[in-house]
Amino acid sequence: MSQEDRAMSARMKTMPYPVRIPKHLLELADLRAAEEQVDRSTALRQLLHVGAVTYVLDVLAKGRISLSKAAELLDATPLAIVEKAREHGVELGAHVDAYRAAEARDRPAPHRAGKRRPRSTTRPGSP
Amino acid sequence: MPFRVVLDSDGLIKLAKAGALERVVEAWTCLVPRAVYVETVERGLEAAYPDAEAIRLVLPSATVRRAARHPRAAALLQGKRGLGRGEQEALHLFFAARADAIVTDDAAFVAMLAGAGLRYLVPALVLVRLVQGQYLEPAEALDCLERMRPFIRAEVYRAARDDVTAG
Repeated sequence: MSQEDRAMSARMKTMPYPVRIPKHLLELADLRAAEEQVDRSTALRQLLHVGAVTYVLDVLAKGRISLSKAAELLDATPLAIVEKAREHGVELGAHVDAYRAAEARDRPAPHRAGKRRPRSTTRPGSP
Repeated sequence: MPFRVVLDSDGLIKLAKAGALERVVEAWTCLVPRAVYVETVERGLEAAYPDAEAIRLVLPSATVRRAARHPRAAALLQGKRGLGRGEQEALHLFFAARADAIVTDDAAFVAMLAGAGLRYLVPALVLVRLVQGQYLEPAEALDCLERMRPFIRAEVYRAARDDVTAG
């Protein structure tokens, strides 16, 4: 590994890993490299990242990993993950049975008299 | 005794997107683990997400708590690889601060909390509770729910809308 590669690895928190890549994926990487004007290794990393995002959103939606874990795995903030999910049309969050279970357990409503905000008297439909 | 909730990143983000976080902070005692604040607010500000700034402005500094350790949380987290640092610290803080509930919409975290019999509130249910506790008007809650809608499951949106409407 050259000094430049080592420096880049430190910057991007990368490490070398030997892997055999199918010829058609290398051809795809070359196509992307030409399109994006990057080198073949960068194009491969970009394609790997695209696949990683898709996979992380999939396991996040299935509840196999959490939002914070997803952010860690993609080296991103949870805000970015939530936005990516919306862009990809991936529905995230607890299911309705979890909502109903929490709703049933949590009745009646918790409130604190000292911090109560009085309701407006101009509510639609109020006398 | 004031109602005390711990918020994870998922809870913070969805309540902020709904425009309801400020009401939650006013109504209840809110606690946010340091790891959650770092991953959502500080990293979010670095990446220039407007929601990060909105959360920073709403959260009083006293709500952000440094990492706590609690043996019950450690026991529950043993062998759990799917949770990130944010949820882990939220669980430790929940026990250490003797909070009443954790506010989260994270399916993996909710499954773990439900399995352990721990109390949680999903953000859509928080809106319902704010209405029932008279901290929020039903019409305001429905507006908040509309803003939250793109970020929660459709079935949860419908259930919460029905509950808000039913009062």
